[in-house]
Amino acid sequence: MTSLSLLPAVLEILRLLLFVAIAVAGLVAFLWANYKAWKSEYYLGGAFLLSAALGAELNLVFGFALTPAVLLGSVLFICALVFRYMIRGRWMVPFLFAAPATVGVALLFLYPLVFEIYLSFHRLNLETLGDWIRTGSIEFTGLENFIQVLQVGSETKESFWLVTARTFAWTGINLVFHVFFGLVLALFLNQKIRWVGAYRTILMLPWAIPQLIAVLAWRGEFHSAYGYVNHLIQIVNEVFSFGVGDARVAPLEWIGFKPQEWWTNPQALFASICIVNIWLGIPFMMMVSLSGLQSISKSYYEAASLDGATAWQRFRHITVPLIKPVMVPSMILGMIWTFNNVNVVYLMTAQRGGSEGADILVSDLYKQAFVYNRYSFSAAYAIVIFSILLVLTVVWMRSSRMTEDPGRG
Amino acid sequence: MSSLEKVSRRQSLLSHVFLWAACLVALFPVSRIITISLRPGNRLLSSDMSLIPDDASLESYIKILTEKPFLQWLYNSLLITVTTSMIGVCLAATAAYAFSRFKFPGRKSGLLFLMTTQMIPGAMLLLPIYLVLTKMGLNNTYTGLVVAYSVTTLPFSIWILKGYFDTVPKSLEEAARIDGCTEFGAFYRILLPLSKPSLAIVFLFNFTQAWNEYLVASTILQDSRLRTWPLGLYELQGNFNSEWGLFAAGSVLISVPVILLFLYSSKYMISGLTLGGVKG
Repeated sequence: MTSLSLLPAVLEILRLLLFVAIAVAGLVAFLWANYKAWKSEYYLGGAFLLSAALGAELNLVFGFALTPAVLLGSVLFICALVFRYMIRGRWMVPFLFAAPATVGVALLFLYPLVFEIYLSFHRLNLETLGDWIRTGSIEFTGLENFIQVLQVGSETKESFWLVTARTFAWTGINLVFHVFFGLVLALFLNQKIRWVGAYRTILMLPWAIPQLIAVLAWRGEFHSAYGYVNHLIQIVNEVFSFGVGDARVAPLEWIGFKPQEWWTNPQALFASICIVNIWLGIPFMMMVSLSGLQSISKSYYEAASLDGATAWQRFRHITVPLIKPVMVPSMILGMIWTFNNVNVVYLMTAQRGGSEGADILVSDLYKQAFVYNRYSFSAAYAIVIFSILLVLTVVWMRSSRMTEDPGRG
Repeated sequence: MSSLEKVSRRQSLLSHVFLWAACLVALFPVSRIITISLRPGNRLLSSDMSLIPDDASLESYIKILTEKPFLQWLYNSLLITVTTSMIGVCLAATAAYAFSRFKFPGRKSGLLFLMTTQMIPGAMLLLPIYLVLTKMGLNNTYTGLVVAYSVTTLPFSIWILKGYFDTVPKSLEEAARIDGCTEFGAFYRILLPLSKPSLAIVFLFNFTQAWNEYLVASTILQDSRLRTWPLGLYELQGNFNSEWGLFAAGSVLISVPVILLFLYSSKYMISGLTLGGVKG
């Protein structure tokens, strides 16, 4: 039995929690003090003294360079100005409540974004990483990284445009199959038949299993010699084959239905990743569709039946329009998730024997950053990918008229 | 096709056939994992395709519990996951309260920004966070991992909780305010107890996200003592020849409680997701 080490981890976590608690308390106390003091005639003077003291202390005691020390000091004074002339004691409760999460999100989203933009114009890779950690400065390179990203093919990397095309194909294929199978299964489950609960539970399994386990298990089944998939294909081919003289002819093989080298042939690998991800994603769309279907009042169908509408007409003119408000946001979410799905692609391709010809943008990005350690290059790459996604989503949201009020959808 | 219709015999039969087929597909890798986990010793790469092997044994289960630091992986995962979820729920609940109940400048753009964050590829944020953690010496620590995890879950949690809070009538808190409760008191004593189910869902959502995560963990944790279970299992599966059976056994041990928890909570989870999507 290997021994467990329990204590150091708990201590580290406690330290982290304590730090978070102190940070939150400090932030709230800071805001609260400002709300209490902004009317005082000494407020601006006091704030100026405090920020000057902070800047001086950072510079002299903590050894910050002059510019960041002045910047950090003036942030405090700008806060005071904002409180005095813009906020003027209003919105105290919502600001106090929203502040901790806002600062957290800003630090963990905005800062990385800004840093990413900075990185993309400079040169940082494994060679310059040590220098950067010691001195904090890296060489400015201008647009070089972006040019490298958009270049049509290079020795070290697949062409960006090829990967982009593959990513769009990936997103489209997955979304179509997810929505189609999800909706069909939901329609079947939304009937009065026996064992519906059991069916639903079993069909949820792909979503319930930890994704890593599901993907790795599938990957094993795609092994060319020992996996079940090739085995199954052989069985099917044998069933649908017939003998002509001495030779056996399997017509399904003519359309490419035969055992594949799933791990090493890029096209087969891409197909297998699609299959796995479709399998993983159907339950989500199924449950979303089902909850949409169940919210439709039965009286619509009664009325339509009285008027003699066929099943297809009822589906087309009642079901579709009424589940649209549920489906469209989920489809947008699903599209973004699929586009950004680095996990499945990485786990299916990254291992020994895996090929790189099946990467989508985000998995390629991950590999450039963390396998090849091309930090600046991947920063530029990330910005390009993000712009594509942003344009895509804005276009789609416009077209489905969802932008009037993000709060009210 | 509504539930109202009398289902004809033919349609019912068709549905059962279709649903049976779908269930077979859904169960396929699961059954395979169970089969492989029951295979004894070194018969791992056999092409034997029966569901329960003739010479089934629990050898792999015993081996992974005794010869591998499987329990340590579970402990590490549990610690990180619970911490992430706790921080996530606390920060998300207060922020969601502000977004749901008050009008203030920056509310709209804040909500829009939260939605935008969902579009940012994880790998994009991971790089600067990784570099900064490396610079601060937090690389290869739990702290670094918890920080990285809260990044991805916080906006979504706020979004879901705001959706729930919107459905709780405001008049309850107003009544409490008239009776002399402070704003924080109204939030803490009225709204939070009323939205316990939704808090549980957000906790669970955070929990499953962090519990199943592999990629970020593999980037930030290098020390084998710090490994979470996905890192451990991935390594077992990487050694395809020798430890495929151990991987399968570990998978079964981890999946069973996760699946049960998930199936139990999924109904609420779906309503939470769709509510957040529809009503914002």
